[in-house]
Amino acid sequence: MNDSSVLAQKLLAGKVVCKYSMPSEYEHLSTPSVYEAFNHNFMFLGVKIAETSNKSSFYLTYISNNKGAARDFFKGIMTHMRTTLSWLEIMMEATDRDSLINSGQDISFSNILASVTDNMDLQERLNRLPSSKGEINVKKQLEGLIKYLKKEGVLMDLHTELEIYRFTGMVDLINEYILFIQEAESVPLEESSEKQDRLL
Amino acid sequence: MTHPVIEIIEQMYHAREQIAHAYDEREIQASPDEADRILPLVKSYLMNRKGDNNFRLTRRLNALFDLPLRKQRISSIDTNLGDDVRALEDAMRYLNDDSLIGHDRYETRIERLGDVEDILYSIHDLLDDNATRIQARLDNNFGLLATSKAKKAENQRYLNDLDKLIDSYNQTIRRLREEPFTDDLDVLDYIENFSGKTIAIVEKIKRCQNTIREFLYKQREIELKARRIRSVFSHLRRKPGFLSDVSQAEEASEQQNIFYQIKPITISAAPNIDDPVTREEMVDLIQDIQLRSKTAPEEKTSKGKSLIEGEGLVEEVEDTPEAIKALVVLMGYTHELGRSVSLKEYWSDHQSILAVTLDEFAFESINYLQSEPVIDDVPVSEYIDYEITLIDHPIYSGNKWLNDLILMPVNRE
Repeated sequence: MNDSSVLAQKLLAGKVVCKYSMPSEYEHLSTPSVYEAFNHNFMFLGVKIAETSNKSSFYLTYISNNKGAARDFFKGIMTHMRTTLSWLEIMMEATDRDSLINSGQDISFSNILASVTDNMDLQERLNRLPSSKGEINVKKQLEGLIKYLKKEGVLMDLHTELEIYRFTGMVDLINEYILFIQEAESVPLEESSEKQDRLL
Repeated sequence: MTHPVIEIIEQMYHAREQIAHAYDEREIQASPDEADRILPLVKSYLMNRKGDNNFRLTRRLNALFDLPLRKQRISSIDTNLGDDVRALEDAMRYLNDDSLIGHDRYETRIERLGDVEDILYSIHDLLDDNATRIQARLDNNFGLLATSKAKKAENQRYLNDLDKLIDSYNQTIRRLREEPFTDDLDVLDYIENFSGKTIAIVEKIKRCQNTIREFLYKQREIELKARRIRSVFSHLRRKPGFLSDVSQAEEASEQQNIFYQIKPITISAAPNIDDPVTREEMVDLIQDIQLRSKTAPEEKTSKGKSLIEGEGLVEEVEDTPEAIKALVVLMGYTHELGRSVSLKEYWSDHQSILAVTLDEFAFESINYLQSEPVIDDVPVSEYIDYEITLIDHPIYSGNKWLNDLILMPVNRE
């Protein structure tokens, strides 16, 4: 089986081909002629290649305008949304709250642990996550979260010994889902942190 | 009794969030709880109190962090050309005075004209230095990442400085097109020459300004998205049932490509263990795995040279890091090949035999090559040249990521 066949199988299996977690596959698919050839062949299966808005990843979408399928997919995402929002908030607060968590961003376990240990609010949120169930030790809870994010393909190992991880293109898709909900549901914008700082 | 240094480190640890904030923001307004953590540092002369609740790092503490964070590399530029213009006016006055007196008129005039030309060159060099320094900072900033706030402040500072520099340059040019500069034909020639030469530098400064504006624009976009996501977090706290009623979003999802993502199709097959043929194959497979694990050679642990060698003898031996050993081999390989070699590609092709990660290999190699190393009394630079290639970091606009290190053999002929 050649590389293209393996890549096609991965895409059909719903994998997100991200430039950080699957660099050689991503590079292969970034070649315009390869991209065109894949799309041409996928057409018979009724699917096409799509990209995340920051061009970090490729994934497959249905060509047909099956609105029911889109709604089903949306509902599927919403079943995990509360958990997703909780861990994303922990990660944003523990890294740089003014910035997005993007693919390619590295996090160190010790830094996240230090931030969470120092912040009761984050501890409470971590404690409420399903991955923390039955565990009261913050370090163990955080280990559970990292394990969950790795299993979901959101995080990948970067340096096992130093416990440094990197976010994959999955996190870009998650950001897009949340931004879409904010816009579609007209969720009011909170004040910018600069303004909040001034008000304090 | 605790050592005073340990006590200071502990005080700093308790106030680490506030220190980091003050380092980025120059000054922080502390809550009563934060002030309690900071006050021991004020007593230790590491932070200063400004007003009731505002605190700053002392210059020494600031410098302590600057060193590892390479903040000293933030370029500071001279944005005022006023002193040079005044010096030019003085030089013109001398030039005209001498012309009127007529004493050793020709030689003195040549000398005074030389002064005018020197000052024009010095303005040219100042502009060029500043543009080059900022350009280098924008192009070669890699390594430790700055937080978005710190990066924004740095970029904003460069933009302001470059704006001031361009304003000052425009004022200078306007002044040079007035009397007394326009009265002297020789000086006019110099000024025309100066204007022509500075066009390229002004273009370079404008390119830097555009790059920085682009960085700031990208950063504003990222900040806005982060703010929109944070708004959803807050909204969910205010209305815990919000996620169960997102009908508008559900309806709108039909129009969004991201929700037409295909559902994962499982393509791995599970063996049917009730099938006798499969069972037989599985037994073979398990036996094969067991056999391999028994005969597999024990993994050797690379210890390097031990600090303790012999019977109780302590011998300090400086061990060469794996990354540098690998680099030396790579340099030999490059030289033998007689063409440029990418460290990334080399690592990728030889990673099974290299005991270092790509990041470790690249960063250690750059540190080594930048230290102007010598092997057998010959500088490495006589054999190998190198180029560092960088790419934009996806998050913090303006930060760069190390992409690759290209090694090039130096032609000795």
